[in-house]
Amino acid sequence: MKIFVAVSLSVLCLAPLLAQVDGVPKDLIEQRIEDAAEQLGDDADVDLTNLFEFLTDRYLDPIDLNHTDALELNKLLLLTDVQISSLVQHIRRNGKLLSIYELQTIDGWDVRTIELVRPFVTVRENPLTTTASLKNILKRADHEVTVRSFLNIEQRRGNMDRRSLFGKDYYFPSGAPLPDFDDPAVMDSLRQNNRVYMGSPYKFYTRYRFRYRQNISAGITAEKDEGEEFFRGTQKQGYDFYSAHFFLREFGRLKALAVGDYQAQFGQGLTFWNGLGFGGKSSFTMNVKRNGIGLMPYTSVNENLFMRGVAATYEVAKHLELTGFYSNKGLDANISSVPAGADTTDTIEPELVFSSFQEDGFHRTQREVDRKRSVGERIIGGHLRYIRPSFSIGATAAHVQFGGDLARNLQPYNQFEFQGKENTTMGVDWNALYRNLTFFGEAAMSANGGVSWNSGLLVALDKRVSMSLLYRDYARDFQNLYSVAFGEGINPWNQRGFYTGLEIRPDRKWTINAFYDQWQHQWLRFQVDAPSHGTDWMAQVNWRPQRGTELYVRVRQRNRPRNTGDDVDRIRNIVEVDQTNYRFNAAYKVSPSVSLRTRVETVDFQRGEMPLKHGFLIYQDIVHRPLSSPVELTLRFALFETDSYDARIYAYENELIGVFGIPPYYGRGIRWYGMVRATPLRRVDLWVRYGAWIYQDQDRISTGLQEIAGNVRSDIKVQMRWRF
Amino acid sequence: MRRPFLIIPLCASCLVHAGGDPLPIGARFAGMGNSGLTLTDVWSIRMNPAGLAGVKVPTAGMFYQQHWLSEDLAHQAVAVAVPLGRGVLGIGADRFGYSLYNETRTSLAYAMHFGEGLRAAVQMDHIGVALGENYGRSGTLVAELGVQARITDALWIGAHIFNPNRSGFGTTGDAAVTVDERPPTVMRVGMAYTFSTKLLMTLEAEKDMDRQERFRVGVEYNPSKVLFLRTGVSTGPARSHFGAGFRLDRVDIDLAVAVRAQLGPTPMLNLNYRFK
Repeated sequence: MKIFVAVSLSVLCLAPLLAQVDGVPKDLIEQRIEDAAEQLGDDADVDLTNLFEFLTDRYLDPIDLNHTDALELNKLLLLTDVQISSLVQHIRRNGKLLSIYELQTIDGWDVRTIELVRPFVTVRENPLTTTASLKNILKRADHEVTVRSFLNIEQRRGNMDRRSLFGKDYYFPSGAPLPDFDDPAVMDSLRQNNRVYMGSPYKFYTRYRFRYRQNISAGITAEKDEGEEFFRGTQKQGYDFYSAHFFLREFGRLKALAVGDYQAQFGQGLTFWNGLGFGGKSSFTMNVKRNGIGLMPYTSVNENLFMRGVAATYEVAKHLELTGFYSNKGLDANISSVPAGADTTDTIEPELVFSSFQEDGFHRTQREVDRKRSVGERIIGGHLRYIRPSFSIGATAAHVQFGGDLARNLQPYNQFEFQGKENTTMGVDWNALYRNLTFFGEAAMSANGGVSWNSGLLVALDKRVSMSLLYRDYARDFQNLYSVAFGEGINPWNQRGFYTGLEIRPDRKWTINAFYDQWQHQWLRFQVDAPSHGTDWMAQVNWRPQRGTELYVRVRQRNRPRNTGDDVDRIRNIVEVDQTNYRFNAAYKVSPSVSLRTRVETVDFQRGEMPLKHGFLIYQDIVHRPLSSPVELTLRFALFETDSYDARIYAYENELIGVFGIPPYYGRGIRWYGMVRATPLRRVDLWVRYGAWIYQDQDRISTGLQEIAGNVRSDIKVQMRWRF
Repeated sequence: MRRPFLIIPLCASCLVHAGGDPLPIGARFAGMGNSGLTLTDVWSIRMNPAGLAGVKVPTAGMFYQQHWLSEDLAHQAVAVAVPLGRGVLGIGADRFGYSLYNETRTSLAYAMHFGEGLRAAVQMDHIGVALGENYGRSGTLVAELGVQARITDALWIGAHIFNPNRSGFGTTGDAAVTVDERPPTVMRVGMAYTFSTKLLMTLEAEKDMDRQERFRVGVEYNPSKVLFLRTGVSTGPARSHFGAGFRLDRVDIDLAVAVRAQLGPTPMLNLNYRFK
């Protein structure tokens, strides 16, 4: 027993909490975010702001393991459902945890897991009550002000009328002279014809956030993107995007209250899910279950994918929670016909017809400004949930009404997708723990009668072996614009498939993960002109010889259908697209202050009989975080070469806190960045990041108004955060 | 000239790449498939300068190689490593080619230990290329960075970057067609696992900006205190490597041969002397 305690102490107490300076540890959350980003897979445009906020909140106000439920633990994204269910059962069998060290005795909880969650959890005998007075709240609350700016060093074509701060002006590839920007008639014509951006090439971001433990959150976020005007012209109100929220959590029976901007996520994401979804095909092969966590504040800057209105979750009876939500806002859309004389902003205008949504949030040219919030969106819905320790069951319904008719450019492949002005979805989701089993799923139906469902099972077969199974059957005529479901892609329609995942931990140093997924599409898809099928498998071996050091080797092979790329007359046959990735990754700590990361990845991509496209990426990172100095340094140097964009390779990059990037590396060249973080005052953090892409044999980068003359694309990002 | 037909395509390829490739040198590394990013040796100055930090006593070495047994494609080099201050200073010089085409590389490196688990180095090279009788010669300064890190006592990882700053020989050609000539940027990472005091294995990857990636594996077997037997494989193009080393009191003798199926063997030799 003495040995056990000694080991526990050495494992748990020497956690990297040493690195913390003013509350939140510097590297811990970033590491968790990187793990989560990895789970999301390849996606250049992830926005992990909300997860970042959640982890920060949990660090400042840890989850009490004795007074929590599976749902809350799931939100950390650090535990598998098998681990959560064994914790819940352990507490049920043995009573409350006496100390955090007891975790090591629970099945499936290895040292690594405990290290991961340790900073975000605690163990208390009695629950903390939230009966603080207003005075107390104001005194103990955290305030945070963040300002940030991005500066492109090389001028984009869209800003060719402006001199670059860095002397890197735009020029035409042909050598032709630039237009005479001093001539107002020329400028007017350029602007009218969307040939230049209206605003400056800088991005500005400002945010204020108020937080009292996990119970109260309020904040305002404002952002101007590159090329958008600022306090003039089309942006008289200043920033292009404003967002504000007020959010209460856990006030007695009022479980959550949202006023302003928020997100709502329920069940497995089939019926209603707003924002990003974790839990999908990734190297975390046991994380296939989505965890609809209900309401949460929206603090990010995607200008379309959020809710604006009011919502609340209330405990109407013991074990029974009711959520209602209402949202009314404008969406950017491509309008195909505008009724004469109608005012189309933010109002429900039945005659309006639009062909698609525009989700990038840019309003840099007249055309983009015209799209801004051009269609109204009204969502009303609710979720009822019955919760017991070992199971929960929920029912969700949502109704959406647009301020116009969505009339897609109809093609054979999209004829079953949503069209029209309004839609209703309804669904039931379930979760149950029984012995070593976790059982979950959701079934949903849309107004047109389309039905989709999925059902999964997580099993702890042995102390060292866990397995996940998930079957999905998504009808081709199921319609839902607010869903993020498990599968190939995120849309829960036109797909039927079976996923099997495995996780083996032969000892505390080794982990083996693998999955195999196969599916079929009953109907055509974009660029797939026939019913089709595909497979996807991955295997990864992880080795953790000691704390702070992790090496893994991963193989992933995807086989997906697509139209032939050959020049065929009229009827296009389907060919297989084979993609194989091999990755070696090493992350290692060589001293308390220096960490290194090394990666080598190759990809082979082949579409039918077309030539094989090969890609290769190699990089080395150095992170220097001296314990005694307020300055830390992060560096990356990478070389990459890919034969085409199809053979691109995604890699996570370190960014300013609150910014996230998993850019694709493609073409041939060098990528490097350097970032300095300094803490000149106790509560003030400063970041400066310089990053550059240097392409070989290229004299243009990007296209259209984003085009850059030359072979270098670089930027400077600066950020200041003040907490008080 | 035993194989004159070889010279023409070779020089043509040199012209395309403007020379300056960091050619692997050192018979110990060559015997292990041109791998050795994690090893410490006086010849680390031509592999990964971070390895110089592990040189304990002043050491000097000489190296000679003949590509495919051709005198005109000979490569000669010298290297010196001297512990100095908190680190190790390295000096190296080599010459490849013959009178009508040759490349020279002169290097100065400084390598240091940071604790037990980290070695790092910076290096500056002058690279010169001389072409024919009429074209003259050109040179440029190139930077190199290297790091070696311990994962466990048995496992080390190394990384090396050559010419990260993309320095070049300048542009040549007339007004119509200019060619921007520069030594390629090269990055290599690799690891070595020590199974026992007798057996070491290496696995490495290299990306040269102008070539497809290459992979290298090597084995060094040490049956007695004096004798080392080595073998390895490198890709791009594929070659087999074999080598032997003799570690005497003050002298190391390393022999290696790299064999390419189409072109035959390339023998290499180096002699190192340790000043105690």
